[in-house]
Amino acid sequence: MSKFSAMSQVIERRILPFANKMGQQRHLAAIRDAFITLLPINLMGGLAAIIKSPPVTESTTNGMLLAWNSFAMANDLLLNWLYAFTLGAMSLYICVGVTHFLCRHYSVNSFIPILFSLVGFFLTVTEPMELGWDGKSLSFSFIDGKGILPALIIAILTTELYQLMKKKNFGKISMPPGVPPSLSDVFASLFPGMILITVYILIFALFRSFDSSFASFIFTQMAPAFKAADSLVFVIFITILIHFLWFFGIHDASLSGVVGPIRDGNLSINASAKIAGEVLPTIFTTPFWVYFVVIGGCGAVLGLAVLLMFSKSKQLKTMGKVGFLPALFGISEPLIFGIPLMLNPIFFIPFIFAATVNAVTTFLLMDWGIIAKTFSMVSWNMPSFLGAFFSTLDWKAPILVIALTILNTLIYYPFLKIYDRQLYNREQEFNAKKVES
Amino acid sequence: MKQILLVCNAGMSSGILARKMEDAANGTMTIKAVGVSEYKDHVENKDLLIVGPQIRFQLDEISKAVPIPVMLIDFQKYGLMDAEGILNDVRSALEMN
Repeated sequence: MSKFSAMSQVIERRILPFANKMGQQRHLAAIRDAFITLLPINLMGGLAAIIKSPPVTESTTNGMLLAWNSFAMANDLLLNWLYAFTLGAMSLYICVGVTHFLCRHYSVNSFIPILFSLVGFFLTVTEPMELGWDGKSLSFSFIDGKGILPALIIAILTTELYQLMKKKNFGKISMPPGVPPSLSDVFASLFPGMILITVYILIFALFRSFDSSFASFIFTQMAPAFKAADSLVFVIFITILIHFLWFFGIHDASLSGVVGPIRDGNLSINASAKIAGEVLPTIFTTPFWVYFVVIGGCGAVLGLAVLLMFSKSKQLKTMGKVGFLPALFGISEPLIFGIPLMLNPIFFIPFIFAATVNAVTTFLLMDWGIIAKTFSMVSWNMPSFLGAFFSTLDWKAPILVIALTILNTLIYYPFLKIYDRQLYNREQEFNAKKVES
Repeated sequence: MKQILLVCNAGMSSGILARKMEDAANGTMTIKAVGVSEYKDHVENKDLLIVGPQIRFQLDEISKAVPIPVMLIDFQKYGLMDAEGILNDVRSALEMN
């Protein structure tokens, strides 16, 4: 036990600075914040995708499902259109969001940089089809999850160059003192804007000369990397890493600047496929993570919360009462810090492995086509068994979640038993001493 | 009346705690819970900033970024949602400054 705590102190001393660096790295932090703010837009897109996909087969006779089906068919265009500019335009909003939050890091007013980022986004991520006088059309098939990387590149490039030029007073035209400050702001951004927009159009021209586009080039070049990120090995690695951090009480937000784009990007790609009636290509999405892997919050503690209510120790019993409701809504901090699971050698194994077992089981079942893949996300703190259903529209998904919860309970059970006995004995001794004195 | 700013990752679990603490403080304090991405916008007029244990790795950065005293919440009290206990810590931190 003392050896363990000595070791964990050493590890903690190494992990904290690492987590701090990851959490503070300005680009990762901006990406994380941008993804968080996208929630309402993603939610509406997810709802459109759900409504458009009633679980109906040729043999369905249920009146309500059939009514749903005819509603979805009658409003096909409406739902498609709604989807196309919500979840289906994720990269566009990410581009705006990252520009904004990165500007905030530099304490630069974000309005003008956002305008430049949008110019850059449209010039390099969408593609012109026809630019005639009476009809203009463009292809915007990369503004969903497929275009996240170019969107991030444009946002970061724009903000970094803009703030650098601003800092160096590059191209600043000195105005006579009588000119209102807002006007001289606009003039100050004149040259930076010209330079940035020139860079964007050169990027476009470069890829165009190879009959390609910036967005499609990155997407095809990065395809193997995306594929690797959607593999069982990667999912196991991420699950263990996140839980390892949580074991030291460190929120996985320190990683979400990297994991967020992958998970949310995959979600958007799946949703686009679902809307188009295609096979869903990816497994590792945000709903996969929040509904199937971390059931009850990080540590997969929902089953443990129930177990706690039956423990002998008073402290653990109280903890069960305090922690159950938050866990039902995917919040495990009370249990992690209260039991505590954090830095508690008894719980090291179940804490890391319960969620890993969930990840492996769900990944394989989805890969084998037994459980449908996820394509929508209602809210991360919706109870898992509901979220599992709405994110897949597969009735087997909530059954899987219940089975996994039971499995997690069994994994935690022997370890909790040991800890409960320890605490109970300590409580008894404490009470005995109190009576004596 | 003292005004406290409670910062955690997204203001979710700390939101529960903030409400409990306000109840326990009986109107002597207001406690506002916010996520770590926006705490700088809420520092004005606050007397103390308290940090949830899940983002304790950002404690130094937060301390440097705000002009008011900063306190880390004891992790076990946080887990037990022990509003009374945390309020006592808050009171002594307020007195010290």
